[in-house]
Amino acid sequence: MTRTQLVVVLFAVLAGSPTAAAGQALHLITIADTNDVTIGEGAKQNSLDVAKFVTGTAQSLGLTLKRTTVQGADFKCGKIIAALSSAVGAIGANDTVVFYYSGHGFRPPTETSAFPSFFCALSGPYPSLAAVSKQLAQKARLTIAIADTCNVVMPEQPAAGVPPPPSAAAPRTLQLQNLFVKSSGTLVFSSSKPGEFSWYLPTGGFFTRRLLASLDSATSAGEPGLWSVVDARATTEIKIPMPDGQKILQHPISDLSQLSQPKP
Amino acid sequence: MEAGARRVRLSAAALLLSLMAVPRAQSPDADYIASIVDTVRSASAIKAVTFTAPCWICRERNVRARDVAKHVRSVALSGAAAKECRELLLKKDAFIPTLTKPCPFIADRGVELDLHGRRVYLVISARCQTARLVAADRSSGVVNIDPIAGRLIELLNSATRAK
Repeated sequence: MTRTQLVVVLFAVLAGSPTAAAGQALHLITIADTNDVTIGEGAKQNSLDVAKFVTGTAQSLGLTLKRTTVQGADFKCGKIIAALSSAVGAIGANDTVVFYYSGHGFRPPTETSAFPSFFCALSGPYPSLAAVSKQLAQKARLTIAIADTCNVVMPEQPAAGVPPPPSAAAPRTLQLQNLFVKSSGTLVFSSSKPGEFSWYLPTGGFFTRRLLASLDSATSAGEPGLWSVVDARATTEIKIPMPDGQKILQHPISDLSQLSQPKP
Repeated sequence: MEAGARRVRLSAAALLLSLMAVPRAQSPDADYIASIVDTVRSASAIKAVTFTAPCWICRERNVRARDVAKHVRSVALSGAAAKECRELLLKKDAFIPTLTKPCPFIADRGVELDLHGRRVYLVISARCQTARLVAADRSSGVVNIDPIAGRLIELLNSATRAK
């Protein structure tokens, strides 16, 4: 069975048991540098995989999905900032927002947070993951901000895989509710720690694949469906295989300090 | 009837020949890496290159050697350094194919390769540990040089510092 077929089966099973969450919306904002010659293919797959997961979650929980996508020729700092402003305007106080960025990233020399900024033009202003999460958190009940990108210091411009589906649908709905409806606050994920690269395959980023697999396992039967569990699984070090047999390490980071989640 | 059969046989042979002529599919990285290796192997001289400022044009899709030349200072490498530099670039597994890094390519170092009077640049982003080949009429994609980046950049730094 293909991934797509499995996801369709998941939707079909979950569609029969929507969980009432009247009036609540799940906003998905994906920003992906899909036209980039080096990483475009991986960024596109990342974005598709995340969208599939979040769309399935919205359907299974009976939440209204509101999509904002910036990719392809629109991948420019100005358009990203404008799309964010527009998306923020539509966020209700009880809504959940998933923000996902897949593209080149860096750390400005003056950056104080551990999270990266987005390289979306030759000259900025470059949005940062920390600033975006704060902006979204002003309106949303729960903000989940994720970036699969590099986190190494760069100079400022001078002058100028879909997770495998769950085996049991009913428990998954409960776990998804805990994650996306009953949690509140802000949650930020970056694919690498300061000073470190992130790595992609044409089939997607290693971190995005890990995060989606963690979300899948954390929502399977017998799991409490907590972000702390997802975090513990998603942020363990990733070993990137090199052609000479060596492994390069990638260390995802997160900040759950502003998150409130249900008791297990 | 016989002529028709001969035509069919000839068409089949032509089809077979044309299929054999189709190059074997390989990833763009493999092409880029092969072109870098071929160029380094053919180079009659290797110099270190330093940029007057971080090279933002080096990330442009159609950047050419003449564009790079405006922003670089070439520095001769000692015989030993040039030999080591060449060996590093020709080393098996010097480059990492297939994997990519979402790290913006802004070159700040480089190697100038003299192809019998034609200058070709291997421009390098030390921060991203990536490189791309820039010639008079083409430029390659960005490839990872992590396995050799540390020593290569050290060699280039010591050459440019010494001058």
